Amino acid sequence: MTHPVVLTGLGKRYRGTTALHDVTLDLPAGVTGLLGPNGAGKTTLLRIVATALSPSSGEVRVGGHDPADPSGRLAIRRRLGYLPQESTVFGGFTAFAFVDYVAVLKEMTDRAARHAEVRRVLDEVGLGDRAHQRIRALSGGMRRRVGLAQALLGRPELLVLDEPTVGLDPEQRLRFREVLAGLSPDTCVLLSTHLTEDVAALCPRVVVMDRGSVRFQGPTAGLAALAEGRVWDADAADPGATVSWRTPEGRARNVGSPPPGADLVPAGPEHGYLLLTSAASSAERVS
Amino acid sequence: MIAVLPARSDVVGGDTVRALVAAEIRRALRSPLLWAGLAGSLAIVWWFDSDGAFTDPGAYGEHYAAWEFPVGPLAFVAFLVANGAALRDRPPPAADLLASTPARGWERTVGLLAGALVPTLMGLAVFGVQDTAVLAHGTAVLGDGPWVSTFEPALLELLGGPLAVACSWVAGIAVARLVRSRTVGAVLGFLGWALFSFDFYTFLYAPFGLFALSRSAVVAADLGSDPSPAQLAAHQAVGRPGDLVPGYLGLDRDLPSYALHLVFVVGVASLLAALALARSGRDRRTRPVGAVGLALVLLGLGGQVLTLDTDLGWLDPL
Repeated sequence: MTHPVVLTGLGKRYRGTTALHDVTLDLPAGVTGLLGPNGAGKTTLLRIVATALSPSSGEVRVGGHDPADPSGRLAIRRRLGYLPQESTVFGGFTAFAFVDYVAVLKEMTDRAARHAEVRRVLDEVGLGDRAHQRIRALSGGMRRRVGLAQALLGRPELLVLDEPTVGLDPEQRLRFREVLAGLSPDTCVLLSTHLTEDVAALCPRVVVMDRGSVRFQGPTAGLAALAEGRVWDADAADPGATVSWRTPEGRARNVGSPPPGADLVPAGPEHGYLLLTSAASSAERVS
Repeated sequence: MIAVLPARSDVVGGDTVRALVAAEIRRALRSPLLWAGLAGSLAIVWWFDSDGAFTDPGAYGEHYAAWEFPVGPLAFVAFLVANGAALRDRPPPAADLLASTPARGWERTVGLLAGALVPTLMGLAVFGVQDTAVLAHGTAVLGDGPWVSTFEPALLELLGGPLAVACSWVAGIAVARLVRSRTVGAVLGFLGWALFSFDFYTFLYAPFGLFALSRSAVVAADLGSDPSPAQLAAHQAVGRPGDLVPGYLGLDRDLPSYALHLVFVVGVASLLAALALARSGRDRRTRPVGAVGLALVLLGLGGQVLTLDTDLGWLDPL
């Protein structure tokens, strides 16, 4: 079966800087987390999948359609919901007017049905009672939710979310997780984030990117498994560890190659992620 | 550049464009700045009316030449509002969001252009009020002293101001598609408004009158400081030397020339619309808009030169 999003040998260069290099991904239905540090190429990748940016090389297929072809691009956009990285725009619109405007751009031409859909998505993100406030008067988290609401319009088959939980308080993040959990299982969600706990809570699959390349793709449990037996606690930071930090209990948690007899602790996705990205950093420093 | 007409399957349908048009019209109707511009224009109408600018014979006789002066505030804010609306996609995340929807930039620009309907109707209201105010006094007066004529404002003269506002709105969008900066847009808008409002006297005469986006139906001929009786009698009215004009002015209300001026303004607006559309994406439907605009500009300019019942001495240096 063809996956909803297939990227083959994708590359993107901006004036001599390589943002993406030979990215090949198959994204099935369900939620896929996209993890990576700043500058990893996550936003560039999402912009390409959302048809807002053309790749310099490689192939993109979304639902079998090629965005380089005008009719394919339109077909993709008809099935797409996209939340860009920042939501500080359209400040002069009310939440309702903004989502309604995007709904028009998404070909929802019947006014009554469109307004009903706008109310539905605003209710879904918990902003039903703020619908007629100007976006510039809303808090950062609420603006983010307005952005999420427009992405949910029309129950898209592909949802591309660039750091959707930035600015959300813990309660709002839980609400966001509920929203994603309520989506059809056929929906393909590509969600970029810095937060491994979001990935652990939401994403059965994860892609880790660093410096424009894919470092890992597979089940989130597989990312945790990478660090199995490589996380240990000690009284002090271990010089042999790739990464160390102090736990609330006052001990040093180390990730890397443990010494014999180390006090191993269970590994999570964040440990696998740290191993991947810090190993890449170390390799770059050495070279 | 080869313009391409997208296949039917490549673009959104007409119903989406109509919905965009309706959305932009509703948005323009809710713009407080446009309503403030309308209030400013109506305030000038009230000022002129209470001052007898168009109706008292004597010192104000030439004010008939400033018939479209009240359009200034409305035209200025129309430019600003349209410019701001067209720059909605200026920050990159907004541009990405809009670009990821089925409607292309071209269709969005069509919607924005249609928003001109709102300030244009506001302009019509302004000149409707001015017309009514003048008719309430009887007639408009043109000229000074013994060389006065009176006129009832013609229906055609209701259209000049609204068309100038429409042109200003379209110019705001075209500038936004060329220069993606609200500051530059505001400065250009202000300069345009100042040029046509405070320097309106320049546009009373040929050759600048031919290129004006806003002028009255009055055309003037410079009669010098010592005109002959025959020269004075050749015009519907005469303005005496004053602060702004050192010599006598022969004044005529030339409606055919004014009609061609309106054709010119519609042509300029069409050309600007074509420019805005061309900058919003490839679509062969842009081309007829530009062709019609160019034809109307040429017709308006050429027609004015041919029909102007005035001295064409300004052509001599050419």
